[in-house]
Amino acid sequence: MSKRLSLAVLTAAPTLILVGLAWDRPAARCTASVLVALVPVALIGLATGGSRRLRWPLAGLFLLLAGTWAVLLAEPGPAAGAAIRAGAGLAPLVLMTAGLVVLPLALVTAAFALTFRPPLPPDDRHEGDR
Amino acid sequence: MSGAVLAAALGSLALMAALGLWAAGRTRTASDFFIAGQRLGLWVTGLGTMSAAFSGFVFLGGPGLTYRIGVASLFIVLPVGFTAGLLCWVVAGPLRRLAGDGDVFTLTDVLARRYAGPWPAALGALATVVGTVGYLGSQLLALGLVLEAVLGTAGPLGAWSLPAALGAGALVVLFYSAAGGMVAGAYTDLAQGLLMLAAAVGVFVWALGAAGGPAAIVGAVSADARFAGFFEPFGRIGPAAALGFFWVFGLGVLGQPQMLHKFFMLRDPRQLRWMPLVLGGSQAVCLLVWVGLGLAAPAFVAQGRLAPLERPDEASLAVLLGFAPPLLAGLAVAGGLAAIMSTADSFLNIGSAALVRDLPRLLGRRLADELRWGRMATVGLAVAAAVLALAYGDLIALLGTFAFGILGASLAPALAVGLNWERVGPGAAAASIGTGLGLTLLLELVARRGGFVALAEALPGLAPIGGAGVPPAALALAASFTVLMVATWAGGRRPSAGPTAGEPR
Repeated sequence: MSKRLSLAVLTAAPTLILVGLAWDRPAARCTASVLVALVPVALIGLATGGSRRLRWPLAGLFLLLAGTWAVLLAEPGPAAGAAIRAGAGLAPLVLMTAGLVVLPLALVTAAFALTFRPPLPPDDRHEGDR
Repeated sequence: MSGAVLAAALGSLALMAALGLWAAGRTRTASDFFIAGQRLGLWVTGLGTMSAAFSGFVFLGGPGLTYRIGVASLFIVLPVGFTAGLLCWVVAGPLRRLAGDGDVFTLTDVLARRYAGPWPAALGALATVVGTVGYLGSQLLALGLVLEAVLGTAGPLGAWSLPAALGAGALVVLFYSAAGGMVAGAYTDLAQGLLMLAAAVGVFVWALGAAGGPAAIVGAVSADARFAGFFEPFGRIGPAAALGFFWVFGLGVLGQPQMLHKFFMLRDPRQLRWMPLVLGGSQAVCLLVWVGLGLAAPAFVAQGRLAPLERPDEASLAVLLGFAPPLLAGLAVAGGLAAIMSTADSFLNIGSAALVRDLPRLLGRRLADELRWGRMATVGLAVAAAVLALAYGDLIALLGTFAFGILGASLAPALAVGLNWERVGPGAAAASIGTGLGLTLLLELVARRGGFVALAEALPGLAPIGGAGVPPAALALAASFTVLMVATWAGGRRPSAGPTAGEPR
């Protein structure tokens, strides 16, 4: 995510999240859930200067978080909700832990290790940081 | 009470006190006391960060909250899937680099170095002290409950049982924390982290088996009307509250001094490469105890093997002390004590640094013997936290959420955005920190006095706020981010007041 897009997200998202948390309506909370998934991605984009190498890992992270929230919020709707209920019991727990913990952790760990560059010493901090 | 459980509890307390004594001999300077002389490796830092972050909140508060609100409680801990990476990408590098520049021991130092003018650092120090008292209070409350159950003081001491148990535990934490500072904290955190991991895996496997396996747990709990909606993600609290927990604990992590402080201590910044694996992986494993005990306690109640709990915070101890084999119960109790004490001693050191180093310096004074005053400050903080713990009167997890939220709402935006965008000025940072701190306190106060009930009647559609509803800190965190961004854009383009993480131009 580029610096400009990151800053745009970080400017607009918190207010909409605030509305989505306080106003308990489906449209508001769906918007908020997407933005809650987007804010960490925007912060990483800002911190890494919109690194091209992180474009796909961050897109994947956003899709995992937002997608899992979308499925969870669909409950008790007729589609996903019914599937979760049909799975009975532990299905939501499995979905929550897989979609929000296990897969994001694997993605983040691998992406960080593969793209890691040690923090630069003070005199070099404005050179080659991206 | 089994002798094995008692021996494990007392043994772990004695071990930590011994580590404190050993570390006291290695603590010679203020740098040793506050940032462990900046000589820690990957595993000590990573597992220490995990054990400082995971506390009585996870071992006792989590299962207790699950007992009350079902699997929705997990939204507090589900962000661990990305928070370790977020910390390392966004703040770890800049923090370690600033610490390497010298004389940066605390987050207040970071704010003072990054922003011109005293206000961001002063408000940051104030937020740190308030958050410290709250978080320490939740740990002492958990510690009191464990010792009360293990030592069996409820009968003989009656109403004085919890205060006495809490006071005894606080004395041990105070001893090794005041004696050894962060050298003690770092090494006890490592030992405690390993103990917590072993306990978490053991308890998870045993708890699911003892309750009859996943199918039996689901069958029993789902059939019991007392646990209606237990397995539905938002069944007992609603989606807005679940999203609020996820937001606070996912983004608020960027303002947690007990975790960020550890990055100052890392010997070699190149070791950060594997930090998300060590930190995130250990956090994910440790959460097994939350899931295992959180499912087993209601299952035992639904199966008629355990009486319904009057205090949900007793869920972990009721299951472990009532049903687990003595050796496993002993390991789990020791792991729980380790979790509590590692966080408590981290906060004691952080709070004392804010009181003894940061605030006097911001007032233009410098204490002659910071090491001695730091040790004295830990005593004052522990007393204040113990009073709060006894007066709060609600679940450990909710007190912990309040404290975590204060720190996150106050410090996360100014650090996460400010360390990576040089346009953020001191006015915007101070406004953001003040908003996070003031709004969290105000909303929490209003919620605890029932103010939002009346407001919801006047404004249909308002989500439940406070208690197990939307955490007040979730609203404050969003407001704090908004204030920082709006004030920064409104402030116009200015030259950087201090170092950022390599500002993209």
